[in-house]
Amino acid sequence: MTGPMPNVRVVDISEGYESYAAMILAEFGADVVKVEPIEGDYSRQLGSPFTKSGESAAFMSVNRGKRSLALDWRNNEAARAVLLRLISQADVFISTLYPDETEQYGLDYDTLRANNRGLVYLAFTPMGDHGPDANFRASDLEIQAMFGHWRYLGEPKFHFTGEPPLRLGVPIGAMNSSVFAFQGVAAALIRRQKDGMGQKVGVSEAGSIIAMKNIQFAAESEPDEYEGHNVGHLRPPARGTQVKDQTIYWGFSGNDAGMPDFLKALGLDTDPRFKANAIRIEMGDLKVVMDEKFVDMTGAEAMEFIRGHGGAAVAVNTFESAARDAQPIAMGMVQQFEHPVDGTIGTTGIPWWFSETPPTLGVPPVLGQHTNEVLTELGLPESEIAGLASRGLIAQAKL
Amino acid sequence: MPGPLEGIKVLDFTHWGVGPWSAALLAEMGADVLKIEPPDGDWISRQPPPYKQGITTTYFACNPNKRIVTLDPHQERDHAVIMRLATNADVIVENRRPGYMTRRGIDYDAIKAINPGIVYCSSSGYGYEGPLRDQASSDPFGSSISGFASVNGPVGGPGEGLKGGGAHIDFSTSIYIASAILAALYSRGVTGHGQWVQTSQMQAAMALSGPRAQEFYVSGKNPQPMGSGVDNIAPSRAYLGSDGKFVAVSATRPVEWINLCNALGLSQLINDPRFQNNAARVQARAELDALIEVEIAKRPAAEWVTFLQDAKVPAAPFLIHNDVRIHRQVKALKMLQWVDTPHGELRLASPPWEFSETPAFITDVHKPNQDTAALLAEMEDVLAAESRS
Repeated sequence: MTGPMPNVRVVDISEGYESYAAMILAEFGADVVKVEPIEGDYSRQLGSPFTKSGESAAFMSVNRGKRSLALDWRNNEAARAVLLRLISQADVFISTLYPDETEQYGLDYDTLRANNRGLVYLAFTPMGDHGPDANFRASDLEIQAMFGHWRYLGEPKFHFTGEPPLRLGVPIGAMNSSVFAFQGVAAALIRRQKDGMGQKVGVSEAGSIIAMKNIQFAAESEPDEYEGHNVGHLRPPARGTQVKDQTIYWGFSGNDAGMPDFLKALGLDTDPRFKANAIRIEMGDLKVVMDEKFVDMTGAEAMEFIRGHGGAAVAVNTFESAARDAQPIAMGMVQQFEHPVDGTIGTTGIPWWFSETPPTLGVPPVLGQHTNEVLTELGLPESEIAGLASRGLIAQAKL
Repeated sequence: MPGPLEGIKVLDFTHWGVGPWSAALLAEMGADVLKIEPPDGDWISRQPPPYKQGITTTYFACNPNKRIVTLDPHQERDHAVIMRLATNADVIVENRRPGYMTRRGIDYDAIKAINPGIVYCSSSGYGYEGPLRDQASSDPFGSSISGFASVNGPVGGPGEGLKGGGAHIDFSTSIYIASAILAALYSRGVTGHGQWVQTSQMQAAMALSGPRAQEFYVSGKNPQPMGSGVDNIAPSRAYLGSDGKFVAVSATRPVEWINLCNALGLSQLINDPRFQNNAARVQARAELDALIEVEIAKRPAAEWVTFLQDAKVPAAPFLIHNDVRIHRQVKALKMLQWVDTPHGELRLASPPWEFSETPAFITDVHKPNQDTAALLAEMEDVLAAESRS
């Protein structure tokens, strides 16, 4: 029993990057049983890259700390009964089914609640589990296309000359909404601590990304009077400052008090272009003039100079250079786990520090790694487990 | 019906966007949030534009459902008020640089001494260890140091962050802060003890980027910007319709690939070994895209969305905010709402959770200093009674 959320029993049928919601619970100490189809979560196929054993990076990144049960619940009644029995003993059920699939498989909240009054049921969907577009099919790209930030990437001309729009490489539709989904479950569990009351929590990727853009929609309350965020997409791409050996990002981050000294050190204090007050270097053309002063410096020299004169600077990292960067390393963000088949694999650390009940970095399970273990705990006799296996309704990984 | 966090008392010492919105999420879940601003206020109430009655809309967007007061912890009376409030608080959240709260006598140790059950959450730019612990951060810094920016942009490009106004990493940090607080509140319900929890913008950005970083950890190679596409899924990108508009089309699940082939009249591809699964399609991306491009070019983008959705294939138009605001699903689920405040009407994003029994909500947004006089009147009685006893 470790972590802030110990002994919370979670049955997780989510697939794809949305599996991240239940991974947060798992690393916070919950017992997360990931119930996968016999062929596995489809994200096990998302790649390359794959490990030597054929495991995808995509799957590994969002399923750490879970146990895997391979069960053919979609196609067989006996297997489905096993799933229902698991859910009847769970605290939390997490589903990323579309509403029409939920109905097809009889996994709606009212049905599951009938055998488990305290259940916290997470309906985690792209578009919401009700409304005219509840069954609208959308992967991360489609969520980003409709609600994301594509206008804020690329050359301004892209939006006028028919160049293709750009996506954020990180699957934000799935990842940000997974964090909200975790919050919904956690809040319902906190509420349940009072009197045992369960409830359904709906989280959509559409609603999540709209929430992420709250300040933009607020700014457009009077769009006729304001164009700020609307014209943000007309700026040049945000690519940092290229110095001798790398790219850095630097600025004064809202506090320009030290700017006169900084300009003096750069030899720009007599430049008439910098005479105006309230220099907004993060946005202005003058940033380009300042950037020229750094082109012959190494990144280390430039960042030291900037920090030494009151500014802030970081490397514009790739994932490879981030894993070598002193700051992420100091904060424990560069980690590794021991995979049962592939051995030592690097991974991103946990973004939280808890003084009393720290979370634990988990290992992503092999498909069906815990099938027999979970079914035994559920109280299925050995003969029944063997029967399900012989009919191909469950699969236990051989390690 | 009150929200799931009804009865939870939060003291919010945050400023700018990141911290205030994290406490706002708790407030939308029904927590009683009191935002305590220093005498010089919260910078984000003054910049950037636009304004409602002289306050930025960004400030309002980041501070719904809170009472907002101005107190100076350097002043004896105000410090006493804060400590009295902290005695009864469940949560304190702050996003100052390391040392700020200590200098004001309100750091974790000071609060724990009077309230061991406190959940005290601190967030900074880069965390509390390491060479950058004292450095300032904002959205593009987090986006840069984490690698988040490295996978955005045109094919062959150097990677890029979001332009001004995007602020995705800022508000991603907010949701990691709120999550830490929720986990610690749950933990308190189990153990009876409070604790100090910490996160930072850099850590949030790295966690958010975890799936792409994992590609590097598995292969030793950095994933690259792929335009509208992504290098581990195919097909999943923007295709050009006959009307010169783009449509996003993806097939991430096996069934979606079959559905897509049938819908495009390319059913012979279903059993083509070149495209038999996603891994194969990623390898044969160029051949695959050429085949799909020809088909999509035959009809307007909007027609494809309808047609492919009917076939249960992920497909969508590229929308701008004017479209989002009137989208029928956005309206049906009230993902945006008008909040009628004394300072004018504001369009805010709705809480992103639908709780069946304890709904989240937005009722109002206050201005800086709006609740100071009322709080001090209330607290003077409390402090006077305490000094008598």
